[in-house]
Amino acid sequence: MTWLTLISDLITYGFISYTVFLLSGYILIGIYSIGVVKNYRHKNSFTNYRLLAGSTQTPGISILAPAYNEGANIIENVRSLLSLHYNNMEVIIINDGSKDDSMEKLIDVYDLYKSDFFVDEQIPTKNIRGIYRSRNFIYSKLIVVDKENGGKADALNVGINVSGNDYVVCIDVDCILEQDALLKLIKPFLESPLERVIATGGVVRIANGCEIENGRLMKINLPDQFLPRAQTLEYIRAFLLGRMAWARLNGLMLISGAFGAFDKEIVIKCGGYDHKTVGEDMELIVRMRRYMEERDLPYKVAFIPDPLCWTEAPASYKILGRQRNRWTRGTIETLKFHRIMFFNPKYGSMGLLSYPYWFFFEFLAPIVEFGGFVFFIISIITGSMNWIFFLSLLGLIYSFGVLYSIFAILMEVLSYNQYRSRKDILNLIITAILEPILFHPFVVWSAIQGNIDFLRKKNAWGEMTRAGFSTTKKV
Amino acid sequence: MNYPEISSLINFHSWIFGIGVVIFLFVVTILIICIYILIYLYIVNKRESKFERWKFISDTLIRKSIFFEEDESASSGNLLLKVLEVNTFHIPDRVKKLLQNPHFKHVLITDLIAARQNMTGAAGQNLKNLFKQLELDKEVILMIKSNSWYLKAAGIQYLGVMEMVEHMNLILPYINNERGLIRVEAQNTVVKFSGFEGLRFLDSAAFLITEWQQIKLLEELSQLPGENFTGIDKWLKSSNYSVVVFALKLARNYFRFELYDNVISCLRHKNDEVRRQAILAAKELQTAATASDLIKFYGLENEKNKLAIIKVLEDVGTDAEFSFLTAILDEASNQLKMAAAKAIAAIGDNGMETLESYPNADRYPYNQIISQVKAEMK
Repeated sequence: MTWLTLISDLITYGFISYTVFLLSGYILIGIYSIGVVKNYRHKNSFTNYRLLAGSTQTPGISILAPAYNEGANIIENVRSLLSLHYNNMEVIIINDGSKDDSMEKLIDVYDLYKSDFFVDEQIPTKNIRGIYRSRNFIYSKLIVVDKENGGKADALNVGINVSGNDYVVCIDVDCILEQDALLKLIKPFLESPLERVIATGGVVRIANGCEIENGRLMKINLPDQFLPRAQTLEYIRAFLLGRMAWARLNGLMLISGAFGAFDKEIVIKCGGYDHKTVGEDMELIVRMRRYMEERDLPYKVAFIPDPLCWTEAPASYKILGRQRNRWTRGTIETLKFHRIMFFNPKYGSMGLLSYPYWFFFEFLAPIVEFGGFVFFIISIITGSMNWIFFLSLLGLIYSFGVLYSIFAILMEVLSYNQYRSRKDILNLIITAILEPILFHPFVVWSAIQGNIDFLRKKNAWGEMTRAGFSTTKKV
Repeated sequence: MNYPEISSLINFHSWIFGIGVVIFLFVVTILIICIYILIYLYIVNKRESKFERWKFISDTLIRKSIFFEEDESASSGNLLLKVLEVNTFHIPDRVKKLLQNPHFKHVLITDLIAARQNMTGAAGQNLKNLFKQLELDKEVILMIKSNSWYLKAAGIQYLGVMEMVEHMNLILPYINNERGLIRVEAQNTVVKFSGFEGLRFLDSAAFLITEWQQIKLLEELSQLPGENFTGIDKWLKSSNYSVVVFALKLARNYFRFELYDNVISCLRHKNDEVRRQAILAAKELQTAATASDLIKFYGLENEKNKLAIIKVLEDVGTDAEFSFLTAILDEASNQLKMAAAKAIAAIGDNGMETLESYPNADRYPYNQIISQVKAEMK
């Protein structure tokens, strides 16, 4: 046996072991999510949310929606937020130094005036230019903050400082929320007397192709374009299987920045969102959990599987690449900031399960995949490629990938069944077959670019141009 | 990458064969799941078209039972008595036939429950009569007797919504059930059946009453005419802190002034939330001594409860509290400063003047706090 074959052996068996490890992890997650989704559905089947909607006993919620150059849809988006079913809430729009006419439009349409408002800067932020309230009584729940540009994390921190309620719901201003989204999101906070619920996340779904009118979702359609459709499948997989399983283990490390509710007191004690990372949503959850673990306080991060928030997914490879690049950098930064938890029993399941999962499954997986591809090229060049073995392994991974997606579709059909027509489901199945070939390699490549950009210390968000809901399909 | 040579431990062909078998199993599973999904969708979509028809039949039946009330109201002066006399509705034969279908039964039960939740008085009574006439109560009792926790909980809730008081004994064993959802529904149903008397389960509540459950109970009780029910004093001394919290909310909501001393004694409770609720209750049950009672505990409290005390002083305070509140303006927390400023401004006729005469009134953050307070008072 030469050194070359020994190295080749090590790499090959390393890949095989990693693959088996990864596939086993996904199988466990898939199985584990079944019970929790089923339980939630049963429990929810006779819960009367109207009771909360009209009650004066409910806790106050502040919705925080940062907006940067959202002038095209800001009026509709704010109207949509104001119409949500919840009695005791305020809507705080944070204009993060937009260069467009967002502020002028808001002032004009909502009859805003600059009010005297003392902001208790519990979390340091960029300067606030002014705080606006409406003269019109029907918009009394609306607060608009105009501030210097400082990024999403900074805008959310301003919102936290301005908010007057115990719970904050952080959302992307262009997301479409179901009318009962807040009622469902706040319930876990009220139901757990023994463990403090520090945050609750909800499922985010893809709105491309759906019918939207006046900021409301009228009809759910599967996107026509392949990329948004592949992301639809990816989101179903991630939210319905992954996050539900992790929630059951109380090991959630991420609540989507597009839609999540937080216990404000803990957020402030942790110092709010970190503007030094592009993965501020994940980083905050990890820091909050770490805070609770280090003080030995019983806590929970809850997650609900109802599709409550609809967002527009990137429809071009260019924008998708930027998004995935940023997500990768955010993951690496968060893992780096909190590396003390890696296999550290002091942090319980967080240190022994969640963090290692993110390290091996989310951070390392694209690197290993890319490494495998490089090894494949080298093997071809050096003529040492065993094609039968290679194709067998490829077939194994591909078939498992398709199986996992098909299982996610099954879970969707059995639970929420949002895409009811046979045509839509067939389209999803075809997407599951094509996704590992046409979508996944690009995602891996974007993650590799994210790693490179991280090493180059690039920390830009990358412009996320959206087509806007007005251009989505209307039947 | 010449695998036949690389390892003497594992035979290369066994590897390939093993992987091939796994791939075959994966592909077969994929095909089975796909076929299952398509068959499932076919059945669901087919049932969906039937479901619409069932829904129409169910709605018509419900509407007729409600409309009966309106028809009678046109011809009768004594509506309520007339309606309550009605025991039987005409049930078309096709509905009778359909009732043998469990899916239709489920649709009908769900619709009736939803309708009943929106109807009170004679119309609600009619729905209850219809429910019984169709023997759906028997169906619900079967749900309660099932082994499934969610069917049990749903069944208990349905009996409560339909006000089937005669089944009280069936519900009572569940009020301390270890399954939270069953327990909550049983407690709510008992309160629905017995009103304030139903709160007796608090005497022996073994589990914590969640905030969600407290909201549900308070909403349920708000539908009933307020009465001078007993038991709060006992619950205020419960070893279950959530019972004390709920009792404080009851004392506050129902203005039980006679319990003022019991409420104040809760300010010594070791649980933060109990003390916070006691502060809020003291505001509603205020006496001339409330401000000084709360101030005594101020120094012992956490910031959240300090804030609550200051907010109560905004309502119950007098000129005598100026010096206490002015001292808070020197504390580190801006939230406390803001609350104290609001309280000072709200007290008496010269509150605003007192606030503006604070020595640091023209410095940050006081200048901004005072500006906001002034703007809010306009």
